[in-house]
Amino acid sequence: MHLEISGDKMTIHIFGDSFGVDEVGWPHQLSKLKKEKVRCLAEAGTGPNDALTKLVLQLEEELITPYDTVVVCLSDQKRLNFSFLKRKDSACGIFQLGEDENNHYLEHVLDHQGEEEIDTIVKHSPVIKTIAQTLGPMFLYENVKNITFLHLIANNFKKIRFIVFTCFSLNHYLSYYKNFNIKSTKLLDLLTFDSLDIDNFDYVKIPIGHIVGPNTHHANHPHLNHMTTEQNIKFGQLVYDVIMYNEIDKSWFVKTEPYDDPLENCREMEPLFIYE
Amino acid sequence: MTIHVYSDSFGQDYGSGAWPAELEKLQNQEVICNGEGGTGPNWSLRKLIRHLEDSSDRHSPLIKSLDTIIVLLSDQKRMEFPWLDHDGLADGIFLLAEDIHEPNTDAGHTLLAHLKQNLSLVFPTFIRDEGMYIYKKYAPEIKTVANTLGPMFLYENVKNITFLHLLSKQFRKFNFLVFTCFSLDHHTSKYKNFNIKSTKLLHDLDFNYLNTPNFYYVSTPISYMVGSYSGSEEILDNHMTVEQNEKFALFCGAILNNNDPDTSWFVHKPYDDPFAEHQGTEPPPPTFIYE
Repeated sequence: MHLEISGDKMTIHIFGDSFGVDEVGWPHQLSKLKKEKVRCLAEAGTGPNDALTKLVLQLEEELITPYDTVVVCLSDQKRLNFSFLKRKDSACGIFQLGEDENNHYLEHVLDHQGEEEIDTIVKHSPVIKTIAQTLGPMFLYENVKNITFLHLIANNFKKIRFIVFTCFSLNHYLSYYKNFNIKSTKLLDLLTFDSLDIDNFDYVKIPIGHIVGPNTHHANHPHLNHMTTEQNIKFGQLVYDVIMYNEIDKSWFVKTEPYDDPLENCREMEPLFIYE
Repeated sequence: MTIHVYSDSFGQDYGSGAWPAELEKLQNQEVICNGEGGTGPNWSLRKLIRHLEDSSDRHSPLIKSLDTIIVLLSDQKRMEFPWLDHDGLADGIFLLAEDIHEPNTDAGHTLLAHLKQNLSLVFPTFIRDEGMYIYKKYAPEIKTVANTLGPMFLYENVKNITFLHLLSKQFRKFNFLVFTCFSLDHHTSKYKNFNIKSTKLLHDLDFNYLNTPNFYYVSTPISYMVGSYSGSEEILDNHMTVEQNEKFALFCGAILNNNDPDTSWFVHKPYDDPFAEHQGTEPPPPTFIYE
């Protein structure tokens, strides 16, 4: 039996990074399809901890109520809320600075940050290394744990519908970072998540970046969420179909290569996730 | 069949009289202890993952079909800081970056004494006489780590439990029995550096749905079963009396055999690790109910 959804006061709450921002993008499309208000609590450049902290607060304050929908776009787990950053959206790529062989980060970030922020970040390279070493190999599983944590939340809030995406793959180059000291990704690669899907919880296994592909034609990407207008319409439909337990249309998914975080471009691109 | 234990000191192999040896007799199965005192959940889970990875492609896998995996998740704050002299020294590190350990209060003074305690008997290679306080020099780094982990760190052991639940779905031929050694919060919310504003959701969480034929999470922390040191009874290095070791083995055995476990011996007055004692007693977590 599916979760019954009715009434006209329901709200869709979106948590995540840039893939979840832009209320005139897919969230707007989803709002039209579902005939419900959308609250975008996503913030570009932030990571899963930021999104989940907001979600927990919203649940505690009962700002999310029965029959609402929660859409979580889990970004790269490496985007932590580093305390020395002035801006939360500067979290991308920071761990590259703690690596002995890095500096693709600096090349890129100089285009985006003020000089003062760069000085602060560079000064903190040793502590960035310590954070990575302290988190260690289990950090590879942080987004897996975030997904299973959300599954627990869904089981505790049975009248709220939860849809979970990851923005990137579960590894997303983490195993290349020497400071995390990850010896193997074998178990991660073996994991299946089908057991998690229940009436009020769906985890969509293909990362959003792998659905929409590279952000190469800026003229066709008027939205901040890395999707073309057409992709926004289709992604809104996809989220709607998942919420409504409909078959999803995968025909428009990119067949070439994923969208990738520009700060990871120093490596060979990850293979495209093949949707079963 | 074999029982594999992953844990801190509560599950370390202390030989005859300790619960792993008792459980071995009760279940007539070999018990392999992979525990080490003073380590945290990441240390245990890392070891478990390596064993699971090895098991999936070897002709004689370490963990075999119908084996049991018992995980005793220790305090999530026991992280593996790279400059620690020993894996077992992970406890109490985050306190060094909090202001509360300064000796301007009685509680602070007691804690300072704990932090400065000579550890050379426990860790013979750790010969410094300043105890854990030797790591005080890393306080700014520790503070940044805590600040960066932030409020979601409160849920790290909740996530570890749900992660183990996922593993149990992946490895359906293994039985998983999961405990926490301390409460899920275990004073983390009192550490200012994590900036935790509320523990409401944590306290409201219900884990009952997790329990399936090959997965059982026991909601009463082991520290609340065995209580704190008192009286003249001999306490083994796993913080339990000989009798408690027997009862705990019986408790595990009952769950593994799908019987009602006896909880009448629980003390409901927590044993706390020495670094947490000054912070006052936590409210008890929900009472364990076998379903």
